Amino acid sequence: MAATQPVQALLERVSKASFVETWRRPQRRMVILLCLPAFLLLGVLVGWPIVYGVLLSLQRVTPTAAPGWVGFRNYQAVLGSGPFWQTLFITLVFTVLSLVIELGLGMALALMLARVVRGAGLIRTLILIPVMLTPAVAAINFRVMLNYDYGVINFLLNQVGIASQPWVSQAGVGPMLALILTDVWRSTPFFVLVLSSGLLALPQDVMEAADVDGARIWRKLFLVKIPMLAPLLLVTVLFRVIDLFRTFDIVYVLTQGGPGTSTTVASLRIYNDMAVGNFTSYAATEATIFMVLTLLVSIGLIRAMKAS
Amino acid sequence: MPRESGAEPMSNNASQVGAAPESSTSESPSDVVGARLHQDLVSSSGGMNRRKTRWGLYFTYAGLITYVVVSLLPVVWAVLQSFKIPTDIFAVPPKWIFRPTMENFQALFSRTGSSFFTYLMISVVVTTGTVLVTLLASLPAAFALTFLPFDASSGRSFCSLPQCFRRSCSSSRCCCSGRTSG
Repeated sequence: MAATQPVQALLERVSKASFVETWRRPQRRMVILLCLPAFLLLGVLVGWPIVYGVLLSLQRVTPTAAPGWVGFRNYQAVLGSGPFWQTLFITLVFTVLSLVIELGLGMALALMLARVVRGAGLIRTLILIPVMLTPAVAAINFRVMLNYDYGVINFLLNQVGIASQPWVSQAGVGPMLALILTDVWRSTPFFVLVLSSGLLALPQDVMEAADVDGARIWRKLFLVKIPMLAPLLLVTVLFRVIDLFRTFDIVYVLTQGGPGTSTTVASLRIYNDMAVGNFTSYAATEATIFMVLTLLVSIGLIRAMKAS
Repeated sequence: MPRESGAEPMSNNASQVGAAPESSTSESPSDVVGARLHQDLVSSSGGMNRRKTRWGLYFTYAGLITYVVVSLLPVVWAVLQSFKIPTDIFAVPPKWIFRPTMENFQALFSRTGSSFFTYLMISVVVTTGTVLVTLLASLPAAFALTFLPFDASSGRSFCSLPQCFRRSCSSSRCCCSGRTSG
């Protein structure tokens, strides 16, 4: 019974909302017609490139020879290559570290912002300024500021007694730190914006009930505010994870994936294989695998969201 | 009951914040601000222990202003750089005090020297075109899905098709946020 119920419901639904029956009712026909432009646009601009990419990944495309179908041989090659997995690992490290810092900092700032009244609007505006800069411009700015010799960040570090760091020019944690710094600087305001509006929208009576029960700040934060914000938090995290996964501009401008391949994130590797190496179908395969991985992560987060 | 004890500490809190270094206006804030502030303080710390709350507010301001200063530093630095001549830009150690020049701006806005206006126009055209096409395609769809009677479960949200098959996307806030039984 429990197993057949969804199937029955699905069949019932499909028969009820079948396309033909929908088409017969004038008003519903109108809905379909009005939605058509959007669907066409999405199909041409989103659907077709995805299909084309997947088709490319099943072929062998070279500048000289005619393309031919090769089945899943590209996938074998990509999945068997160490550098690809290394790239994924680098992407994962960058995503997780950036996300944790941005979420923590954004939550802290949002909570602070919710406490103040005077100047809150001004502070919020000032916090939001970094979002308005073009990512590439921000990255160039950070590349200049992180320069070993004339960079202002090393200068400030010297002022407080720390030696100059070769941020992006030497292998180690420096380049990754520089990328995370740039992204945290650029994206924390996004969290502040979303979370502070979420905090404002929390029902006031629940907060008062917590007060009456004598809940202290931390208990209220972890037992009332964060659980109530959970859906919003997960939506925000979902957006940021997808965004961080496909980060390209910051890496391309700041480190170009170097030194060596120590900061080559997935999208940069795909770009290099495609535009520099001319390995069209190999890059398409990597892109397809990467897209599936991103989808899986998104689906996981959506499930978590529904569970909460 | 923090709400009941509201009238008395209200003026206190208001004057304390009036003395805070960040408040630029007056010592006596308006009643509205005071009331909102009081509600703020009450709701953020249970209305207990006023002294602790005041220091908490100072720390809050200090934290926020520290972040704002640090996060605006790159922007300020970039603006400063734009008023420097090349030797000042690459000076070691970096120069905070220098003789400002308008040469860079003159070069940028001179019609002969650079193609800045061309690039600006390209940006404008691309932005306008994108917005127009997106609006043309999405306005009818938005209208249809919002105002015309339609089986919500069969098309309200494109963002998660699998959920639509489970008839769970008729929630008002986000298609993904709630499950309703058919």
